Amino acid sequence: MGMKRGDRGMLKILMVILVASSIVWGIRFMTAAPDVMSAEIIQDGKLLQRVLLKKGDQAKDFIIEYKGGYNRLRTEDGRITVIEANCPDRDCVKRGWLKKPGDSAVCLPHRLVIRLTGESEVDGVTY
Amino acid sequence: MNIKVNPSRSIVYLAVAAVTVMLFISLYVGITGWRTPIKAQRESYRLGTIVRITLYGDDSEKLNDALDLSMEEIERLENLLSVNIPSSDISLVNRASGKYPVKVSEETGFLLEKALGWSERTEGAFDPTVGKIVKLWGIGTESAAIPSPEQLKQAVELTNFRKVFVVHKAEGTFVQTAKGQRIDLGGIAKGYVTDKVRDLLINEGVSSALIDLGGNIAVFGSSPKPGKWKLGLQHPFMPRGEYFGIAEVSDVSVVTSGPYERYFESGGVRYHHIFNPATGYPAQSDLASVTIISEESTDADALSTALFVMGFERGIALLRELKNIEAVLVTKKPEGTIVCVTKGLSEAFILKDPDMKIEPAAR
Repeated sequence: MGMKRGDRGMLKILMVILVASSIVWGIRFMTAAPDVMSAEIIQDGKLLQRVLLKKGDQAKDFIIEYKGGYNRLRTEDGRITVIEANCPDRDCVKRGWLKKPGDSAVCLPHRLVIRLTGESEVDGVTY
Repeated sequence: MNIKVNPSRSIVYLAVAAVTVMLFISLYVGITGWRTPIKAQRESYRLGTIVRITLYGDDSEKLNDALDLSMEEIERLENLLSVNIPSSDISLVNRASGKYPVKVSEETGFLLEKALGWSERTEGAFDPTVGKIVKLWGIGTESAAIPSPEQLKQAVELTNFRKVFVVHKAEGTFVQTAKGQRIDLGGIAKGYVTDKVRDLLINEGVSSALIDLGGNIAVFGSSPKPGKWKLGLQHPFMPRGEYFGIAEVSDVSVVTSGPYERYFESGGVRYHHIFNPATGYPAQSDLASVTIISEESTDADALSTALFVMGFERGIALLRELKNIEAVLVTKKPEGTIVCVTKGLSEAFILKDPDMKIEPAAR
């Protein structure tokens, strides 16, 4: 196929844009944050600790205390739950396992929030 | 004259043009999306719930200052409006019930008038004088219990928004209630505080924010992700945080009310926190949850409570009369769980639970 001058110029410009675009996206992917899931344990608005959740991990319990009250948390196989608590409503226990990014459990009486980090499908949940 | 265009050649030109445009877009998105906005977030326990404010912008110091101011504003308003704080405007009014008019802040007066307006409009399905009933049941406190029918009868008689008077004088705003009445703004105050925080943030020059006061959410500006803000609506039959659908919105407030939010169980029966002012008992509603989407969170808060009490038929009838209010109603019917979405929202609502069926609201 015969090419005119203008066509060649156009092709060159195209190539330049293609290469620039690839470089930009390449860098963006390479520098993206690694996808590690962790749970934030927040009490009274303060971040108490960040717990790494890894697939295949053995069950491990720990206790978060609040003015004579407590929540026993369990991590296992990349997920976390409140396994037991002495709050009146036990909403936090009923929440079950948190496994997806953005999942959260709340214990209002003990002012406790457990939230999984990472990109969630939604920006918030109304209730 | 006869211009001949080689068809294969014009297709090549078209293709080249298309690829060029796509590459430009890719390059543009690659560069502009690079500088993702800074996110600043604060979480605290306020208004008896978890408060979370998330701001996006490019100046982290400015965002954190705005967060400080927001938290101070919430505390200030809680101190005016909370029925549980003895020095609040509302507590002062309640202690003076049947005795004398109490001078309140302009804001308390404004919100009370707003509440009385919705009481009128919902024929008492929403009623800020429900306080005696709320206190008797004590749901959400350690002393939650079923009151005696006599106690409830008395409390229902005291629940009457028409006996509340807000008077504006030269010396300020005054509120007078009937003897024994107890005002509780629990069904509207969170919405009002949400609106006030939004106004404050806009005044502070914040361009994009998500305000979450215990599931009472308002968003403004652009979402950090492409497209609009995506808000999940709490699934009425699943644990907190699981949603049955997503509303894609911008510059509005979204509030959901349902019996699952707060309740206590006695003798195998569940007693929830949304009372029917006419009976004094938790509202027996054919709705499993009500979500209201409106510009003002104050309205969304009051209406979500009112519509739950009113039930599906009356609720839909009211929605038909209201402008700029959208809703998602979840009803349990023999044929399954039906999700009813108002017309203005049908494009922006995504149903996630495959077991639910969607039905447009006749409007």
